Amino acid sequence: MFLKSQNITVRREGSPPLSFPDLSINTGDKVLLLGPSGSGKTTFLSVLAGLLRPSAGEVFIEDGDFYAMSSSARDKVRGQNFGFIFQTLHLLPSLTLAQNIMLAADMAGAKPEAGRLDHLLKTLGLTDKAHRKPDALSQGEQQRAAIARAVLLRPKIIMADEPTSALDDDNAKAVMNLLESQAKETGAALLIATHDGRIKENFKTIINLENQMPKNNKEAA
Amino acid sequence: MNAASLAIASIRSRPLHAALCTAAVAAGIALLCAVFLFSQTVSSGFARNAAGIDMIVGTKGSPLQLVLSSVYHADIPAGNIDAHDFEELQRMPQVRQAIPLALGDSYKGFRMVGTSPDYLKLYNAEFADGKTFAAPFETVAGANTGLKVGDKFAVSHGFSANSDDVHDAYLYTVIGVLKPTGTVLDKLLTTPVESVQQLHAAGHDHHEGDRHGHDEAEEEHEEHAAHHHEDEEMDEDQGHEEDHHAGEHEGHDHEGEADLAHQITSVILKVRSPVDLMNLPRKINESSDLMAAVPSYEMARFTKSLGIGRQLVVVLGAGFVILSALMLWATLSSGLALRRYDLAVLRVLGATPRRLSATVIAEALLISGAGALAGVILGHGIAYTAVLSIESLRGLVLPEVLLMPQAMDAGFIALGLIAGVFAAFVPSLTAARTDIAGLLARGRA
Repeated sequence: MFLKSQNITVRREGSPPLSFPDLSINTGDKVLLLGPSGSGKTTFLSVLAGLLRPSAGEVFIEDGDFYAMSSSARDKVRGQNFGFIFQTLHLLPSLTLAQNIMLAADMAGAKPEAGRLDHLLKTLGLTDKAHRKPDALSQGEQQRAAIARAVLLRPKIIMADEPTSALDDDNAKAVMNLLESQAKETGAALLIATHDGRIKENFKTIINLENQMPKNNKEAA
Repeated sequence: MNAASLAIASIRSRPLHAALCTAAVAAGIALLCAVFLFSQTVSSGFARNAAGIDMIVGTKGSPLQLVLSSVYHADIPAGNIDAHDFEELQRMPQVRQAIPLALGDSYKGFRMVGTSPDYLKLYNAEFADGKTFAAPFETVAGANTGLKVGDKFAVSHGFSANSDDVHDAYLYTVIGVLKPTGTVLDKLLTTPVESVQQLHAAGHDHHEGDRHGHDEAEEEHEEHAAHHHEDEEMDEDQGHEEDHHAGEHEGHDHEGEADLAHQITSVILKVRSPVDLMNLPRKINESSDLMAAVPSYEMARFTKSLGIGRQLVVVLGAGFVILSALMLWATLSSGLALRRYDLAVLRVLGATPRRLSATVIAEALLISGAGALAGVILGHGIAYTAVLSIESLRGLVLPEVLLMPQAMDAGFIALGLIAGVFAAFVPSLTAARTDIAGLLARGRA
């Protein structure tokens, strides 16, 4: 089992505690985290990725307790094993497209295999845009660049936060195809958090998150 | 993509902010650098010109005036002393060497110094042409005077370049020209003491001068006097004041002339031991009509008295540096506020908090380092211009030194970098504490 969570609860000041169902993901799995906005999808992803220590519960990564590690060890594990795609993409505006993709390797302190960047640029049709700044790219090109950045280091899991919700049907389908093909190529698990019901059909494993905001849940064990 | 290149990318994204901060750091460092370089150059210039001069002895008065007039040739002498005093000083057991100086005349603003050839050795002077003076009215010209061997000229009384009180009864002949020494010697004319004494003895008794004062003078001198006979009427008119002044001496005319012929302005002394440097001035000051001054001590007092103006500029410069650090702080903080989502992305991609701090610190160091470098270059320029534009420093101070890097430059660049680290301290902690999960959950700010 690559990634496992148990009894996760997150309490934040000024909002009711969020409890999340247990989860276990293996490499090659495709999991959909479906829930309306406010259900804590991004918070759950943050906890799973080692970015937010839960108030209660555990996260295991390759059978190791993720939050028992030092914070810099967590940063390293995340950098090398997780690929992230954000809804708003978050390409750094001051860097070129190629620099933005390479950022994944630079920040993780790792080197991609030789030719990996060129291969990705070619596969995603970005070769001639490599030295442009994000401002000079179309939305679709930015989306593809963000995917390239997420899979650069052949992560064991690709986490995407609302990758399709801002897109029309055709583009949503194209992005899902791309994510699935890249996950398959790199042998990574795919974990997508969304409220976008259109992509349900792509997944066998669907985890529904309730809108926990209005409720006053009792603390989970 | 390391901390530095991320920092450069960040600077590029807000060039105006970065430029303003760089300019502020540069302004502060430039002020500090200019002040310290200027005073260092001036005091090393003073020290270089007084090298080998342990002590200067002259008539009683202001010791600073004595040093300025007789060592740096930057002030007028207060008065003369008797040549016998020179002999007495020379005989003192503590004195290793005594060099007489007789001042009072100049040519086109270049001072004529009656002295001994030892004075040239004091500055390790080398001859570009000709040889050292031996007979009266032979003169050795400094490198900046523009004179060449064989030139003849009359000196005028006083030190002003446009004096019309010309001693044109006597002509000096240039017998040697010196190579540049980088000292005050470059703008001096040197001659035996006797030249000055004869000239002044004659000058105070014009009518006798031509007949009497010339027993030792060269023939060309006679020639010249004859040549200028047509001017004599004017000379006499001008000479009236002097005649009148000399009137009180009329009773002992001969004796008075002998006195004038046996006066010098001051004596440069080299002592035998450092202890003498302490004791001899006290001894001289207590037991005679003479005054002894130690140049290094007087100049230290002098530059100290200039300290208030200097302190003001130092305070101003330090204020600028502090202000620039605060500006940089504000810029980094507002930059972080704009980029906090970027920072969160970097964390998600695996960057450690320390790495984000390093990026912020690198940005601060790049800006403050560039500012400090520009400030040091600017400071050199300011100090160079200042030295060039102050007339009385010409010859005393070598401005070329200011066009080369100095040891203290490293200190100023370090100061700029320290300001940068100070400015980055809080912002770098802020960057390290970026609340990633919260930012991601809220979406792009």
